[in-house]
Amino acid sequence: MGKVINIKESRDFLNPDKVYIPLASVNSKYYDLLVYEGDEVKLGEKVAERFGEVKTPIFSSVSGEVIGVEELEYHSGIVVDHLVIKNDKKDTIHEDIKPIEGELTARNIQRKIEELGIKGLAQRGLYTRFEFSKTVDHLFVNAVYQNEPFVKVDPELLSSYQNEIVEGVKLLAKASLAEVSVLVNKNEDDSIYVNEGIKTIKVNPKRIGVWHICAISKAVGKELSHDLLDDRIMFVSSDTARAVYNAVTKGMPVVETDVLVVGDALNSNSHYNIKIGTHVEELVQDLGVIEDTEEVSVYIGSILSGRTMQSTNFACTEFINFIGVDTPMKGEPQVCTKCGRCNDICPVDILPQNVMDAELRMLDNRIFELDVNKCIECGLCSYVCPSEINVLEWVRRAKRRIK
Amino acid sequence: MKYLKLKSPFKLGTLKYKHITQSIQLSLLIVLIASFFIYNRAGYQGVNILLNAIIAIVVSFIVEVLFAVTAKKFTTIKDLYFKENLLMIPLLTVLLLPLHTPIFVIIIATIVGVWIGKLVFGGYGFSIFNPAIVGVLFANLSFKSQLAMPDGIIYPLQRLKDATANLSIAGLNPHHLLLVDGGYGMAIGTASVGLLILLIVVLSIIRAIDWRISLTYLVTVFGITFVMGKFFFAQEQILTGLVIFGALFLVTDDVTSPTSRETKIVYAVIVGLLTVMIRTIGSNLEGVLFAVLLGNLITPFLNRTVKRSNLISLAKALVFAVIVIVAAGAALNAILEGRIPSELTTIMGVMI
Ligand code: SF4
Ligand code: SF4
Repeated sequence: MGKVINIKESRDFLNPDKVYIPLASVNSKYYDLLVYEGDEVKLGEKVAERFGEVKTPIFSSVSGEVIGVEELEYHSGIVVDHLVIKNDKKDTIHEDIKPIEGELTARNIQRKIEELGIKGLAQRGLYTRFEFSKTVDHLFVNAVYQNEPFVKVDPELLSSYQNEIVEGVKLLAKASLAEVSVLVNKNEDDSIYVNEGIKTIKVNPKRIGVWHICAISKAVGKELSHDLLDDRIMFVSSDTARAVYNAVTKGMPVVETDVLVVGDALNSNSHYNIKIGTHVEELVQDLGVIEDTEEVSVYIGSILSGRTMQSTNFACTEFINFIGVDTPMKGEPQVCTKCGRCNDICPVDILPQNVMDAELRMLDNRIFELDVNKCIECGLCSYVCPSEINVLEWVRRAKRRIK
Repeated sequence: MKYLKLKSPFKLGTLKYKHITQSIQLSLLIVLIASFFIYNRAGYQGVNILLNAIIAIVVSFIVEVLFAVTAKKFTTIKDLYFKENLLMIPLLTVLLLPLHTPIFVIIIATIVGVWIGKLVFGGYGFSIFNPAIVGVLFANLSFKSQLAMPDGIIYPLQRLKDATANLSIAGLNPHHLLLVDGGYGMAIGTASVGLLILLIVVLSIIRAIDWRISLTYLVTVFGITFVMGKFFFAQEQILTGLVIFGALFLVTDDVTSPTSRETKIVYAVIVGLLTVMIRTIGSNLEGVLFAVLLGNLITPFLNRTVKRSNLISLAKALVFAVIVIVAAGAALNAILEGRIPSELTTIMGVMI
């Protein structure tokens, strides 16, 4: 598994000079801007609405002056408009920000979550959206840090949110009417949840990349579909629970988040508390790039299946909780020795080596037969391959072929 | 500073291709050197082993280089060693042939193995048959008289074959069968069963070979022979000849074995079954090489049959294994005890 990166430091970066708030997303390029250049905005003020299946409100994460709209990379290679706001560093809270009035019924909580756009706080990967219109039997909250076991975050650093997460989980249980369980790292203390009567599932993150699938699949006692909502399962991150807590008790949309900035091209690695829209270049400058570094690769999300970014010229959003700035790995792929290690590791029991073989020979029927759409793109097959072949890339190609 | 766009994953596992190929080549060398000492101590010309190995390696090197030159793709020696597994075929060839093999047979077997077994398919990773077995079987079939055992010496495998015919193990010396003294002449590599077992364990632990294939293969051979003729008989079948050597180097070969858990089990069971069948009712003394070759032949077919690798298909494979072991054991027992009409036996014998 190699060396584990230990994160022992946490920095606050809550007063950036400017924030860049993405106005569009991968799915929808269109938005309705509610403010003009030169306008004064307050913290938590609704500045735009993004169109899509549902309208998603976009909030300002600082108080200050609107400077304009600028194009920045949003997701690997996709450039979208960002609203630039100059921070007056006063954090004046907007007057509309208030907690739920009256009783905390399921419907009230759901409405608040939708109103503040937390419905869309779903990340790539196994996580699902909030979908209160569908019946959900199980709701799993993931409290295991992403990129375990490669990166280990000192639990101390996260303890300040623990209470918010616990309260958030309780609110979610109320709102979703489902059975709620929290996935926790087997080596960490789960008493904070157990004391509150929340069910926990201990997972072993040593099972690189597959712990959540194994745990959920075991808890519900069946094989999982590609979209967990089809199995009447909701799976959200602990960040979401925290966001729900802030929404319900303070009426505050997601304006702050935390992110890990990690990599061997940096002088040090750190956990950051940041405002949504903080420019990543500033964080990287804050940590400092090791001198004489010639090439770096920047990626977001999971070490195994995350996305590469063109450069550090992008803004942090609530969807990003890991930024890697690495010197690129050297190594060229060898021939596939048909050792079968990729087939053994696949958490959804498909056969990536056979898919790769079928894709090389362009056998559409065979690819279809191999259930390639079940692949959750976890990247484990590429990770274990001793020949350093990017097996996942072949599986993706096969998926595209039979689309 | 330049930004590079790479594809995920951004970290890779620590087990690398070159670790695997190196540890297998190293274990072959260990077996070779151990055989040298064992044969020397037993009073044979152990130096021949080293000489054969050096000649085989040089020949395979020349063939590789000539092929590279004609194909206009030049490689370095380092690449040949790390990527093309330079030592694997020549060492396996030497270890699979007897001590008294003439040098020209070694040379021809190596050329056939490296060239026809590997290079024409496109190099390491593309062969369909285990290249070394192709070379060795070619030599076995073409130079039968040169490879035949010297008169007057009856090797354990021959005695085992005779014993198998009437399922009696009387007259077999169990200590002799442990073959720690180099008394077994059909293949140099089998000189020390103890060392081979140790290597299976070590290579499985460092994950250079797949223990599931090794274990299933050994269990199948043992199981079938156990059903046929009780424990002592099974023990001798396993310890004699190439079974353990095969479980270490031949059935586990990554390139020519199937790729998923279930097919690996099915493959090992089929190879084990063929091994026992050739040994007991076939005309050859040793069945391992032919069995592995036939197994290689059905590998692409096995790879095509599997769709998912879940618990259900694993259970199916295991049930298949148990049924094959019990049924084959019972059937072979019936044949050997003469409970099946001799015409039928002859037909089956011919078929195998
Ligand atoms: S095929 Fe590869 S990326 Fe897809 S689920 Fe299996 S191991 Fe993960
Ligand atoms: S792990 Fe790599 S070398 Fe092994 S079968 Fe899969 S793709 Fe081939």
